[in-house]
Amino acid sequence: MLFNSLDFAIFLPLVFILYWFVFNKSLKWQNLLVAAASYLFYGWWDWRFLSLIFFSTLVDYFVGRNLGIVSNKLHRKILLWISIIVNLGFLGFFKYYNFFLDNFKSAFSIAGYELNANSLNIILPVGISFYTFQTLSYTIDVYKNRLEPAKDFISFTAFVSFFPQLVAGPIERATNLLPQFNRSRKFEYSKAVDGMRQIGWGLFKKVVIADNCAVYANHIFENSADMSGSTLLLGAIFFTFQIYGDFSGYSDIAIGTARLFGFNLMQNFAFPYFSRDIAEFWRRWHISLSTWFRDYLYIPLGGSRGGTWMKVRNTFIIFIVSGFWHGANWTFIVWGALNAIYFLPLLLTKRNRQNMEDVAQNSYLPSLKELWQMGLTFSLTVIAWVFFRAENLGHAISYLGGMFSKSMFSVPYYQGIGYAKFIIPLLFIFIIVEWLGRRNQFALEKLFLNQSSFIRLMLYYTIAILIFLNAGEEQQFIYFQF
Amino acid sequence: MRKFLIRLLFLSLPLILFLFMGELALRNIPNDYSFKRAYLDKNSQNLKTLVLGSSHFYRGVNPALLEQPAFNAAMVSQSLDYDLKILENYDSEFQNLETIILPISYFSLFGSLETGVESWRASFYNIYYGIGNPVKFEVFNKKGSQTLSKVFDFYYSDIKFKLADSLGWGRRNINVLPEELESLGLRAAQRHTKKNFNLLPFQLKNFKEIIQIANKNNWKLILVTPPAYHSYVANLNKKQLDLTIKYCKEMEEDFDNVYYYNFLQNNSFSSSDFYDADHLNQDGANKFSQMLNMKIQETPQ
Repeated sequence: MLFNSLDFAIFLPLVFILYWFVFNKSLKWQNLLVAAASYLFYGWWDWRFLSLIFFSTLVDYFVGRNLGIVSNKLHRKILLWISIIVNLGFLGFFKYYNFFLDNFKSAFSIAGYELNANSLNIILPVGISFYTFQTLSYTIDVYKNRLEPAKDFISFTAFVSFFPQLVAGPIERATNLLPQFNRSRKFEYSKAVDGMRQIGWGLFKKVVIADNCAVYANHIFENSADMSGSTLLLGAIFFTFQIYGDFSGYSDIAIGTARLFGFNLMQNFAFPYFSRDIAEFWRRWHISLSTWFRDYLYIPLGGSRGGTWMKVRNTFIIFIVSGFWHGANWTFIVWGALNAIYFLPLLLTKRNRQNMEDVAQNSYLPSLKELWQMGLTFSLTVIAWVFFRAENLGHAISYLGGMFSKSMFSVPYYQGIGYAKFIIPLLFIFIIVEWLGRRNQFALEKLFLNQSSFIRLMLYYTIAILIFLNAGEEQQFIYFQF
Repeated sequence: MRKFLIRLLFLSLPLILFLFMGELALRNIPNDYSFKRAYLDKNSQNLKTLVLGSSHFYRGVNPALLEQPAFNAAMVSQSLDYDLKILENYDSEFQNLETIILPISYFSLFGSLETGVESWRASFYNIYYGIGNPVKFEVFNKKGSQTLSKVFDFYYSDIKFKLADSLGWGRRNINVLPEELESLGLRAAQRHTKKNFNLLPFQLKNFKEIIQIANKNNWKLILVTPPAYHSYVANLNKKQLDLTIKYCKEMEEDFDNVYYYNFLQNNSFSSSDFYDADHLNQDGANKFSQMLNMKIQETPQ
């Protein structure tokens, strides 16, 4: 079920009413409803893969329970590895089997051997990369004694499958989300209103910004061979906004929906395109994944302790694994490696933590230096996104080759570009709103709250009308494929 | 909680009302689907010849040139599963029907309306034919801006959305340059070539069910692969095309009431007969319809 579908528009109020009016007497029943609704939400897409989530839930629940009992170090390690193998095994099979097979076949054929194995026609279960990481965080935290094992299977099932963030995150830590399932939840008016505003803003980002940018980005990327450098640059910029609107929009809807049910999910995006360097960008982009890798991969590898070589190695590992997490394609690996290269000078000169506070902390406008830094970071990001969006490495290289050519300084043109005139002013307005709201969890959180209710009402209707005018065929979220 | 729900309702009521009015306005606009349903509801008992299928026949078959009374129930991107649904819907009412003409184009066995680029049309079958997926709303079918412009176009600019003639033919009186047909052919062939054949078992099942309905009712079923410009034919995937022809021939051999004619590379058609590489224009459609009618006459009843 997609957030931007009519099905969800019916599903959400129904579950909301049942949750607060019918099942509100008992926490257990509320959790049961959340679990059942989550399975329905997921099964709407493909019910066959429900067994996968259920199996993963079952394994991690029993591993967690046993970790709470067993004190023998070796046995605890074995239990942890069972969870890791099951979860990463599913992920590896469904997401990476064909990638490794094809690459092995290519490597063998270079060496003069023919590997006789066929690729499988595997459907990637939606959200598998997200929920496997979420459940893994649970077993690792229980193993490290940072979290008590879950006692109640229903609340644990609801935690693993919680529908707002099941298919595209935020990848919640068990330490944050699981205890919320064990506490009674009371309806809070202000929280629910905030949730609705965040859902509205998320829908706006997805439907108005991302889906409109997608039309132009797709056209330019698909016909890149015929485009001038400036048009290719425009296409890359459109994709830069598409992916931000798409994914941060999804996260906003997820967080807002969770708030309606009394849950607090972590912030996943903190206005990353206003970052002054790449380190800051990665503290603000897909925060739940970046911090997951930091806590469960980077720090166990030694983090930034040790010598320069160790720091460089760990940085490359985390960025490349992060790239590979996105998809079984060399383009994602190169995208990750490129970001590591961007990051490296900051790490080596110990300037990776120099921009920890919001940009233009005490003023409306950024300084010229900040503007330059933001522009540079944004440009580097745009280049990196080309690898992320391209069909393959050859496509990415030819795209960038075309982009950095003489025609980069011509006027962008392709048949149909006239329609882009509508989206460009809209993007400017969007950037201004995001800038004004950059100190909050989401741009609209506190913006216009001091205005009269009439002005706020007009604002909500404007957003609703813009969503209606741009909504149509249900467009998938980019991150569903990961 | 009460305050929240009341405010939410207050806020959303105008929006719901706006959508409801939009839906009403859209449903009142006459279109090919509502016309074809009304025609079939009224005339299905008298029909002798029925044309089904996608745009290849919606544009390419003029029922006025077929054994009368004839009607063209084909629509853009109407796939075999929808042809079957229409047949099932009117099965008992086609009391005088003798012949069904069904196109088996290059993509017919490998694609479906709901998985193609025209999937938004699927809701029209639900809304106007009463078949297909459960309750759909036209107001959510396309972008709101397109929906609004459709309403304005009809109510203020007097633009018509019923394009078919009185017998369901969507004629198109356009000629294009042969050079244009070259590039159009490649693009159409690429669009119609499927990456996988996952839908083949599903569409074969529908195909066989159509044959069984025709068999049960003693209707002649004329399967036709429609003519196309050489630039289209040259870019087709051999495997997909061979399978299409193979299944049609098998059905012809297996069932007495099934006949198959392959016009794909028929020499009678030239660039002046097409408005794009795989669709006949008005002249081409008239020529093709006469040829089809001769084939129908040749086949034993």
